[in-house]
Amino acid sequence: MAAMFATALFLPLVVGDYYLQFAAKVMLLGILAMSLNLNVGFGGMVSLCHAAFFGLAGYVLVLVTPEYEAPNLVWTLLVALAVVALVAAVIGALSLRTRGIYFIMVTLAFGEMLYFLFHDTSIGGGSDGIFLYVKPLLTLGGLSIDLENPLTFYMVALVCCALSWALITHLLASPFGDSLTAARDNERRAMSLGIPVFAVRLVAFIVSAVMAGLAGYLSAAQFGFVAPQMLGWHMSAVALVMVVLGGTRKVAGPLFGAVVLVVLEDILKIYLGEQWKLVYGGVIVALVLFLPGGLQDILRLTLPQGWFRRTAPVTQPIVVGGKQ
Amino acid sequence: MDIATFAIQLLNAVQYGLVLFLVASGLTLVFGILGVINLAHGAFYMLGAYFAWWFTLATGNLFIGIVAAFVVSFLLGLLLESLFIKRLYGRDHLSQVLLSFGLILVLDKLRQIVFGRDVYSVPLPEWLSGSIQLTDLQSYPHYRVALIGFCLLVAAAIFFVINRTRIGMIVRAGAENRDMTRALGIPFDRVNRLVFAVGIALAALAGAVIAPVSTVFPGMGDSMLILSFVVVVLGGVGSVPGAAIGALLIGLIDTFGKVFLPEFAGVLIYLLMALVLLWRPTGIMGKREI
Amino acid sequence: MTKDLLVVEGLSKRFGGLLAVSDVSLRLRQGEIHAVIGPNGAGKSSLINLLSGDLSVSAGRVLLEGKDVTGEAPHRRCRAGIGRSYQKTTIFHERTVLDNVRLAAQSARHNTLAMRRVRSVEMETEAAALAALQETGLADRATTVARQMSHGEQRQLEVAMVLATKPKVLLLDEPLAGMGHSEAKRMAEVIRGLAVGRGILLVEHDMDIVFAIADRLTVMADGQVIASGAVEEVRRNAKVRAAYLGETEDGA
Repeated sequence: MAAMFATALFLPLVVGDYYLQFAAKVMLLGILAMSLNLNVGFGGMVSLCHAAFFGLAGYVLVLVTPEYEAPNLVWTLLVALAVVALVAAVIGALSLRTRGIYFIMVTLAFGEMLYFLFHDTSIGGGSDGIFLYVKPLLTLGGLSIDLENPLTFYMVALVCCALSWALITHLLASPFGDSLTAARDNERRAMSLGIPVFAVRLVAFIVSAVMAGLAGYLSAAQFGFVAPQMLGWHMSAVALVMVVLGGTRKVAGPLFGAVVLVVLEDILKIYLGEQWKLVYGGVIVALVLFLPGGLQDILRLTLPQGWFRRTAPVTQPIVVGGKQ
Repeated sequence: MDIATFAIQLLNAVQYGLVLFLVASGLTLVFGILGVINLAHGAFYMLGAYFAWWFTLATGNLFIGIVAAFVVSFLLGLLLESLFIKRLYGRDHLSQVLLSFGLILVLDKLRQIVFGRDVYSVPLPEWLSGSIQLTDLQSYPHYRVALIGFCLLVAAAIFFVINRTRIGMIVRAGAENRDMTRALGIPFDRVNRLVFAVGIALAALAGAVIAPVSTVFPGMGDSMLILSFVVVVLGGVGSVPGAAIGALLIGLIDTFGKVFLPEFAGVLIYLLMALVLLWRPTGIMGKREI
Repeated sequence: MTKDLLVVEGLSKRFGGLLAVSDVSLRLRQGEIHAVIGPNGAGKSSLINLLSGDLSVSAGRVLLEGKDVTGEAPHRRCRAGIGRSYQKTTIFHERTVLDNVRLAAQSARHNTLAMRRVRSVEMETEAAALAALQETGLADRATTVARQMSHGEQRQLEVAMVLATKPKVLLLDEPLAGMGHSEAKRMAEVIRGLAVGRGILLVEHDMDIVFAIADRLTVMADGQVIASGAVEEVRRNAKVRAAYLGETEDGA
């Protein structure tokens, strides 16, 4: 994976600004999906309010930005992430009192509460959304990071994506990761072994929300615009599709899911125009019915077994032991 | 607030709650008996309104329109159950969420292709378009009165079927303990299909009867979906009485919230949900220990 | 003088109208195996669930070394020193035997929210895990994936995991369930050995083994204690013979 991120560093040498922006967008969605999978795949919590944290961070950036002045990258980011962490702590503490279907419904409802908050009130421009006229800027001595520049933005997105991957990988290899996956596999047993399941899940929920917030902050900075759709549950469901498409048992799986889904969406839009959603929806239905394991199912069916095993041992369960 | 205004608001709250109950009762049964979380439930509320609009225009009769919406949705439910939903039994909730999300996109697009994306209104027949004069300035439309009566009839029918018939007994047993009904040799395939089809037909019926008082528009299913989820969380999964209590609570809180606290009306419902979660995480009528 | 590790006073559990456990009191001493027997539905498993915190108590108290733990959550009781095994095997099937016990050792005694591994903690965890495997006779199976083991070995692992939490009190819920005769005998010896320095509350159906290894016996029926005391004493108790032992002789 590290090699892949390193290779991606050279992408700007090969493609122009348009594709660079496209790649940055995919990476941000990849962060969203990877962070969601910390809940879904590793925590066993199917959350339908993940996009709410994504959108919330974007709104916070726009709302704390002075009108015609470049916002400071560091402190606007910190404020955005702090707000997201706080909201996630409240929503998580309430939602995690429930399990299974209830958890899905409750997170959906709380996510929609945030959606309607921005949709129905004038806080953030209502249903039309709101523009960010000047993009965040960071000046450190002689070095300045200006998110207005597509190349800079791409590099920032890439680094954040790689860091997110590394952070999740690290967390899963820590005692915290052991506790989280143990609680997923058998909640009662995890409790009787001394794991405070509620606290472990809440921490995972908040951490993943903050990572989604990072992606949302950057997304708002990239497009210079936020709208309620960013927070809506359709967005959360799309992130879930990415997770399942890429596979829930690998940290980087959802990132590949994001790549494939976004590319698919663009291709469908080009060839089908208006009707793209019909096929898109059909693909999601087919994914659930025929490829429950996601893309890895295609790989397994099409590639010779030996090759598949060596390159992508995704069929094995995640190993979260001590020494690997 | 004078007595007439209060009466009108109360009637509105009850009517809203009853419509919500029709949608949520189907949803809670599908959860409780099939163990399937169906996000496409709201889409059928929307489709019901479109069906009612189309059949009413085609036949010139609102009643035929409403009945046709119910029947067509029921048949559609049978079809979808045998094509898709039946493959979800026993699968994880994640698959169910995704499949029903895919269905929403497909159904929504098909609706756009067939009916277009305009906002429509459904005309009322002559004798229902009047209103009752309460005071000099305030009146209450006949149709809304008829709507309340009709919803009460449907609700009574639901309770009758569930509490007094053989199929209702099976359904109740299924909601209590799915494994046990399976072990008792009950024709589960048919019961499942029936419950799913009736469930979404009820949502469609709610959309159909509301069509003449609201407008028929593409996004109408989305907000209804969320509200009916909140109703099920309040009432408890699989509990029809719970759905009735939850729906009426939300009807009252939303309607009077808009009167007294217009700024916060949107948040009140979720506040209520948060309180119920703190007090009883499995809902008012839900099973206590998990 | 042996000390009381666990004292249970007037414990009751009500499910709706049903009194599953009714006014149960007992004492568990260090170095002692205290067996709880009784027909199905007597409330033995409920009793264990009440002691471990899996069920909330309707009335009564549970004291661990004099400290009231009645209202504590299961994970806190584990950390306080009450370890339990389940009647239905609840090991983590996809992990190796060593990873299972290591998880137990780590969870019960170290920071479960720690976001990085600390060398000293890892070494201590590893040592506790290996010791637990040694004590239960699973040392040579450490690298086996739990799913691939025999039923008997999985039962052993179930107990090894409890042991790795370094409990003062072990609550064993039918540890021999589904085992063959020779396996069961070996397991009984293991359990006998575990009592040294600890206290064991054993729920078990196999009477031969109970009589062979238990020091004290409590007999339950319909949620109540009908007799309690040293094994021989209880065995001679006429009430017990009528209510319970007679039945098993027919049933066996």
